[in-house]
Amino acid sequence: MFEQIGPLARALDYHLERHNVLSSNVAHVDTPGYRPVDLERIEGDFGGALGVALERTNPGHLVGGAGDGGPAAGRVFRDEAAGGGNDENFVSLDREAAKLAANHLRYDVVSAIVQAELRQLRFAAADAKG
Amino acid sequence: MLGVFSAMDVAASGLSAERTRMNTIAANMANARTTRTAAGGPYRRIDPVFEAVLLDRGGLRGSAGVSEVRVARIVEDSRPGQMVYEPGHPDANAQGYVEYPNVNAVEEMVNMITASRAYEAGVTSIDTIKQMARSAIDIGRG
Amino acid sequence: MSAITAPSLALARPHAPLGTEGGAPRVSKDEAGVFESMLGQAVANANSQGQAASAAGEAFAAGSLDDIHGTMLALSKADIELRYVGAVRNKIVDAFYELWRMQV
Repeated sequence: MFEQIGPLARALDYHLERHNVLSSNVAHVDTPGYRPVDLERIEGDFGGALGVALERTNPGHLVGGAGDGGPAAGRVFRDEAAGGGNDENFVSLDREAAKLAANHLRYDVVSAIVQAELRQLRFAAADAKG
Repeated sequence: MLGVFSAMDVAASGLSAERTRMNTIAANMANARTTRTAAGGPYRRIDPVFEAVLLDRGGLRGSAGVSEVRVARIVEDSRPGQMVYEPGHPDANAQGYVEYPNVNAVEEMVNMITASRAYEAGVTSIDTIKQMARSAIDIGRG
Repeated sequence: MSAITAPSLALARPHAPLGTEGGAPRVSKDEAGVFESMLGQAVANANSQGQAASAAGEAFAAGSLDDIHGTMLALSKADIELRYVGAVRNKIVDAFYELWRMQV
């Protein structure tokens, strides 16, 4: 009955994690040499379901996945399109703020979709009365 | 159909561009009296050059003439600076004149006000987009 | 809305009142058949609308669809269709019982 809700809940997880990642970019707006990162979706159920810890082949690489070892909601990647500043800091507040706003919006829309789906199930469960 | 998120990207590109302009204005104002630079000669004021880049969103290449702003390059203003007769100045030339930067404070202030207004307009645009999206979300509620 | 298939088809069948099992049916088979096919058609429509709306919702959640108001409209339409089907089914069941009582 609830098979529709699974992918939607995963999308909510993804957007929440992405908010954290983007917020950390904003926090590093003055850190010299900092390159902003972003979170991309993991395609298909296979990517997140196994919860396999990603291996770091180079100490410079970022650690993927949630810290508690649970399945990752997304894959961290370097944002290559961010421009550079004089102090080698690549964070643009406008770019990050726009991404945060868009991400927030998507979260709200998915939340509204989940509400609509559950409302329909609730209606049917109440025997089509109210 | 170009939607909410492409509109936000376009507006955000405007914000970034105006912020770059503010940076150049700040650099000009700070160096208004800099008579010596590493390249020799006085400081030359800089300007950003904006260019329109047609929005490329998946299959909607150049859709509906909507374009983003991008800073193509930063150019130096080649106008000569003002020569002031100051024989005692360490940067004075053989005739005793010092060349000061071609920075005009009034010009920079006007540019700063324009950039600031453009930035505010971009922020208003993004706020409006967000309100429109939230109204759309309310369709699905209740 | 594949999740809704089972409950909605259960809605489609008016339940026989207690005490009539094993007795002769008082409503003719034709009349019951008309009710059931009408409602079955409406339920099928609501189902396909609902499935399309769910697909749109999932596409948005996966990031492949950016259309906010389109998705919301599809979900609202599916919701209204389901409620409509439910209201019609309730009316039909009430009418069915009225007919049942009338024959006594």
